[in-house]
Amino acid sequence: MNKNVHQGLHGEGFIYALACAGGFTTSRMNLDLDGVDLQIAHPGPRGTTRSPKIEVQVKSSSAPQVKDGQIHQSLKVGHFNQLAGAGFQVPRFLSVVIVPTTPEEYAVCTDEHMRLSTAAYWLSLTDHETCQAGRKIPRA
Amino acid sequence: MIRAQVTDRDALAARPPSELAMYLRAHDWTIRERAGSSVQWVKTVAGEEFEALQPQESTLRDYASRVRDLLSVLAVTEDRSELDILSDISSVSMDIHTVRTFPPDNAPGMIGLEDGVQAFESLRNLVIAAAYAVSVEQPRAVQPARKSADVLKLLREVRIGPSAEGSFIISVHTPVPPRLSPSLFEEELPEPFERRVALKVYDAVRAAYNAANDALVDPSGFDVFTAAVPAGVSANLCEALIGLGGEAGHPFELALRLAPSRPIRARQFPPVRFRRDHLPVLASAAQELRERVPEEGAVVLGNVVRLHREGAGTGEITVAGAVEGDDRLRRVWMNLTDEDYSTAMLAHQEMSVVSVRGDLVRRGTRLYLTNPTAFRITAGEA
Repeated sequence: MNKNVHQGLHGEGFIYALACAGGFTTSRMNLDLDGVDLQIAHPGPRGTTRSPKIEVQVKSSSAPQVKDGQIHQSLKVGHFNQLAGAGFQVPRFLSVVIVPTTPEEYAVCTDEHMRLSTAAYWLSLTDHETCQAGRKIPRA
Repeated sequence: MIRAQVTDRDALAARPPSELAMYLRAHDWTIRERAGSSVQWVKTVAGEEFEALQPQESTLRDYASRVRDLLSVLAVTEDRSELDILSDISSVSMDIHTVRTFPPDNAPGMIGLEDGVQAFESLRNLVIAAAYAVSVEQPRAVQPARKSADVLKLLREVRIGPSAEGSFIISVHTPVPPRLSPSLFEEELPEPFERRVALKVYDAVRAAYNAANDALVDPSGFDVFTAAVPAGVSANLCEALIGLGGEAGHPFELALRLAPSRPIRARQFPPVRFRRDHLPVLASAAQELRERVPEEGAVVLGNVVRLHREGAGTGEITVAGAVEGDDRLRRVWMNLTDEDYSTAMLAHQEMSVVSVRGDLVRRGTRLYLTNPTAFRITAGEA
C-alpha cells in the first residue's frame, strides 16, 4: 500500500475514533466533490443525522513543521479555498493529525488498552479569505 | 424499484429552496426553527423524530451538499429512492398526467418507435381536447382544428416528463401556481386555467371510460357518448385515447397526480384503465360523433380536383387541400350553387387555389362541407 494512502487512512481513523467516543456519527464525504472528508453529527433515528453538525478536511503529517509553538501546514490552494471564508451552512474545519513516522506505531494494542498515535489539532478558516496562490498557514 | 443515491451536484443545486420547502410542507414536515441560512424542519414517524435542514439560499457554498443531506433523510423517512424523491421535488408545483402503456412483446421500459411517437402525439391531443373543453362555454362533440389563444398558451407551458421505469410510461407536467392562502379557502377560490385543464383531462377520460363500459353492455346506446359531451368527451378525445393504444390496440392506464403545492384534499384520482376491448367502442363513438355533429365554421383551402353536374343548377365538387388549423391533406366534397359552381369551374381550369367556409361532417368514408359560404378563388394568398 502507498505510504501516503496508509497515513491518510490512519489520520481519518483517528478523527473517527474521537468522534465515536464523543457519541457522534461520522459520514465519509468526497473531498473532490464536497471539499471535505468527513461529516460529524449527532445521530438521528434510523441512521440519519441531526444538528449540530460540522464538516472536516483531514490532513495527516508525520513530520510537522513547528515554529514558536505553532504547526505550519501547507495546503493546496484548491483545498484551502474549500475551507476559507463564510457562506457555508455547515461549519467547516481543517484538522491536522500528527502521526508516527512508522505505520507500526499508528495503533499499538495491549491487554490494557489500545494507543492511537499521535495527536489531532483543529482550525477554522472562516475569517480567512480565499486565495489565488500557494501559501502556508500558521496553526495553533 | 431501483434504489439510487443522487450525487450529481448540478442536479442537486438546480432545486431552488422554495421547491424544497413546498415539498417538506406537502409531506407533513413542520418548522421547528429558523436560524440564519437554514430552516430546521422536523417530522415524527413511528414515534421517532427526524430532522431535515433546509438551506434557505441557493447561493450557499455547500448548497448541493445540503440538498443531498435533505434527500438522504427523505429517502429514509419515505423508504424510497432518492431519485424518485428528487423527481417529486422538481415537480412539486406540477400536475402530472401519467399514461402507462402495456405494449406486448416488449422488454420493460420499451415501446416500438411508431407506437411511441403515436403515444406522445395522442397524449398531446388529449391535453388539447381537455383544454378546449375548459376554454369554451359549451363543450362540443367535435372540436375545431384551430386552437384558441388560451389553448396555445397552455401548450407552451406543458412539459413532457422524464421517462419512468415500468412498461412504457409517458407523462406530461403542467405547472400550476401554488396555493398561497390557507386551506380554509380551498373550495372558495376559483382554480386557475392550468389546474382546470388538468382536472378536465382526468374527468373527461373517466367519462369516456364509463361511456365505453356502458356501450359494451348495451350496443344500441351510443347516446351515452353524446350525453358525456358536457363532461368533456369529444370525438377528438376518443381518437386521442385510441391513439394511446397504439397500432395493435394494447391496454393502457391514465393517472393524475396533482401538484403537492396545490392539493385538493376532497378528491381521489384512481387510475383509469382501458382494456383492449374498449378501443373499438371508442373508435365507433368517435365516428358517430363526427357523423352526427358537424365541425362548424371550418375553412377549407385547396384545389378543385373534381366537378360533377348533371343538367343546370347546383353541382358537386371535390376540393383537395387542408382544413385551416390542421396539416393533413384531405378531400372535401360539397354541393355548390350555380354561381359558385362557375367559379369552381374557372378555378379547376386555371388550377387556382380556392377557399370556402362551412360545416364539416363525415359521412361514411367521405368528408362533406355542408352550408358552404364565401366560396372564392384566393389568387395565391395561401
